[in-house]
Order: sequence, then structure tokens, then C-alpha cells
Amino acid sequence: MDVAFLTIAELNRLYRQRELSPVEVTKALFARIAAHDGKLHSFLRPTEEAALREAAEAERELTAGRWRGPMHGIPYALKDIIETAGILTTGHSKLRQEYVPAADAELVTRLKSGGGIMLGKLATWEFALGGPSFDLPWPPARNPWNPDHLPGGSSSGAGAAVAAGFVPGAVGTDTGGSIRGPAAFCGIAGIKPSYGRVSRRGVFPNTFSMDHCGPLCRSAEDIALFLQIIAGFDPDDPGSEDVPVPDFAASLNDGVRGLRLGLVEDWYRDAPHPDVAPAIDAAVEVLRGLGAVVEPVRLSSLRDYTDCKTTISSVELFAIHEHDLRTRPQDFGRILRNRVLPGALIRGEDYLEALRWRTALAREQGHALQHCDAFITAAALNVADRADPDAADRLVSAPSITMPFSVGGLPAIAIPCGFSRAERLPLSLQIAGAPFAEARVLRIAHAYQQATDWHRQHPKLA
Amino acid sequence: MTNETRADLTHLPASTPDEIRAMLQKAGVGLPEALLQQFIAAWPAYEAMIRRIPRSRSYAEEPAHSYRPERIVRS
Repeated sequence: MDVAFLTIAELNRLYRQRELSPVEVTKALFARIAAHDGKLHSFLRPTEEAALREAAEAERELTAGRWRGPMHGIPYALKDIIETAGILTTGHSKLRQEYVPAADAELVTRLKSGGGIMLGKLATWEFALGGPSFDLPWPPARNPWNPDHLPGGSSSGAGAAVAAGFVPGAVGTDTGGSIRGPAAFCGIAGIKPSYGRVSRRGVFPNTFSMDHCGPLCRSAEDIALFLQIIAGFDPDDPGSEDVPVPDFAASLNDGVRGLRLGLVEDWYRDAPHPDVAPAIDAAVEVLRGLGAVVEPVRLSSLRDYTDCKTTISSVELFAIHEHDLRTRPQDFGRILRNRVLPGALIRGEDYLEALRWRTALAREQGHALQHCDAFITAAALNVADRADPDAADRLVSAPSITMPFSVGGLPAIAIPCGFSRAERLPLSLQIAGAPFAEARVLRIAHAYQQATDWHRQHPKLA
Repeated sequence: MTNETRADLTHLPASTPDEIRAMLQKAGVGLPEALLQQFIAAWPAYEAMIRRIPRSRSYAEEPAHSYRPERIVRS
């Protein structure tokens, strides 16, 4: 049996039926990584020995009838800003090239308790911000659909590894789109949960007030299973919210009949890639066909959301990296350094005005959600970029379609909805809901995936 | 979000390379010349961004931050 593209849900079923074992799956995935990751660079650090130990333990427990939950015996991997006790956690940066944390991040503790099998640490843009960079100690990850292209970022290795069939799920982080972007460009699913839903403790910060952790998988159903294990209150994370964690899979099959979906069309109608708008139009028709009521919604411009988010981030980033910038600026990659340094020149009153703007922008989303159950729009305005070391940095100049829901702190998922005609690269739909309405967002995404097969198409690795 | 809420700063002239140098120096950031040149090229986009921030909000419009003492002051 080829295990590469089995979903988490399928692996659970096959484990229960004793048709597959965690050790078999883990060995097969490491063989696939060894055969193909030399071209994709998605893993910085496979941890095969430890993974096989965890797989053997999971196999013993499952055989004995002890089931820890939906991640028991399931392989996963972690973006390399997520701390792992005794395992290098570099942030894909020369600055932390030799950093070995003493403790696991809270979400890693939860995955270990749930019986997951950690296959290794994944490439990222430098500290989840500086990328794509070609001047770091490790090369940037490549897109499995076409290695001449990039997988997006900053959770670049997570997007590439899941799409390539190296691992059924991975944990990424998302401050302005770093889970949803790679999910979109790699043709997989990725959710940025609500701010405060998943603990950030033990994850290297990008922007304290907007950092989120979440899973990337190959289906919305798998996202629900993975999120179930890592979600939940953490009293030691000041941003964590003490709210109930529902059974995310329980309402997956409730469908979308009667749901009111607010289509934020202004954001993508004039997307730079000509295939984006038609792909979203087609996805809207699928959802209408399933019984959803789709109506246009107007929110502030992407320019406004991008300016607000980037101003806030720039200041927080400088505070985080200030010491290293003063003492060893040459050890930063060019893109990270030039994205962090502006924070040194932004006045306190500008930061505070941006925070007040955030309140206004988030409230406008709240007002719109009084009239609809969720937002839908594109998850990316283009297909994956070509890998070009000389490409200009577009962080500020090109408005982002993922940043609005970062500003709002809303749960937002990216799922595949087609391929571009010229490049045959993935296109992606974004669905966002009210704070802590992940279950509804996942229900809409699952309904769409039950009616389409984009998520079942996988790249063929040379 | 209407333009009436903005005290527009976009008319201000872009900082010159010498001014960018001076601002970094005042901020206590010293860079080798090659890295400084890279930043001088990057800064104008950020400066324009900051000048687009809407201003002149009413006193009641609070920033999106909060301090919850029970989450920080824990015995």
C-alpha cells in the first residue's frame, strides 16, 4: 500500500482495522523523504531515530487497544521556530544555528501526549518572516508541483512536505498568512485558528499580538482532527483564551444549506493572475449548489489591512530582534534584516494609531459577521512565485489577502479550488468565520471538499 | 473607514538617504555601509506605509491591546 497520500482520517481507520501500523507508515515516509527531499528542501532536520521510537510505542499501545485520540500513531512535522526539547530549533537562521531548547513548546507537549510521531523540523522563512531567502545556512524549500517555484511562506517547509506526501500534517505559524499562503500555493489545506485558540508558548515570536499556530494537512477533515489535539487554553500564554474546545469533527457533515456566506469580492476581482477570479467564481457556484446563500460583502481595502498589520508587526519585530540587529546585523538574511529594521524608525504614536486602526478594522469584520455566517474570498492573488534570488521584496508594496483575518484574529482556512491554466499550479479559496467558530469554517470547507476533488490531486515527484 | 478620519501625512517629502542614515544613527543602529545601502533602498515603502495610517481618532477609540491582570499577576 502506498501510504504517501493517506489522510489522517484514513490512517486512523487503517490502524483500527490492523491493516497498517505506525512503524510501517513512518518507515515508508522516511524512505520517501530520502528519495525526494533533496530537490524540495522541505525538511531541515529529519529525526528518524526518535520517530521510529515513537512509532514503536504507538504501535504497542494501539495493539493493546489503548487509543489516545486522532493523532495517535500519526506522523507530523514542525516548522523550525517551534521549540523541541533536545532538538535543534534554528528558525532557519544563522542567528540560532546551534540553539537546542530545553523544553517543548506547549503544542508539542500536546501532540506527544496525543501519541503523534514527530518526523522532524521543517524549513521556514527566517524566523517566520524573512523570505524567501537564498542567503541563509539552508536553501529555501521548493514547491512540489514544480520545484522551479516556491511553496510560499513563511511555513514553507510545512506546505511543501504535506503536499509532497512526506507527512500527512504539519504545524505552521501564521502572523499575516504564513499558514494559508503555503497551503494555497501547495494545493493543501491550512488553518489559522482564532487568536488565542492554540498556545504560542515555546514558539519563537514574530508579532506577539498576531501570532497564531495551526495545522496544514491535505483535507479539512484532517485539519479538524489535528487541531483537536493542539487547541485549548494555556494559562502560561497571555494571549490564550479560556474558551471551550468543541469536537471539530462532529459537525463536519452538517453541510452548508442555509448558511449565509459573505463574498469579499473586491479583494480578488482584479487579482494579478487571471485565473484567480474565475476559480473563486466556480467555487462560489459549488457552494450555492450545496444550498449556501452567497452575497457580496464590502470590507476595507487590502491596502488598509496590510498597512495596519505591517506597521504593528514592524515595531514588535524590532523589539524582538533589536539586540541581534545591534550586535550582529550581518548574520541576518537580507530580507529579514530589511523587514525588521523599519521598526527602529516607527514612532510610538504610529504604532498606537495602527493598534487603534486594528480595533476599527476588526469591528467592521464583526459588524459584517452579524449579517453572514462566514466570509469567503481568495486565499492568494497569484500562483506560487518562481524561485528568484533577485526578486524584489513585495511585503509592503503588494497588498495581502490573508492579512485581513490576521488583523481580525478570525479563524481562516485555505483550501485548494483549482489550478492555473498556464503553470498548472494550485489556486485556493479562503473561508473565515467569527472568533472561535473554527467548527463552522471547517464544516464549510469540508462540504466544498466533499463536492470537489481538488484536494485529492497530488504532485508527481520526479 | 472614511477619508475624513485621516490626518493625511502622505504629502510629506520622502526622507533622503542622508536623513535615513541620521535616523538610524539616532536610533542607535550602526550598519556596515553595504547593509545600510540595502536598507536605504527598502525604507521608502515603509515610510509611505506609516504615512497612510489614519489619524485623528476620537479619544474613545481604544487600541487593540488589552491588559488582563489576572492573566499576568498570578500568585
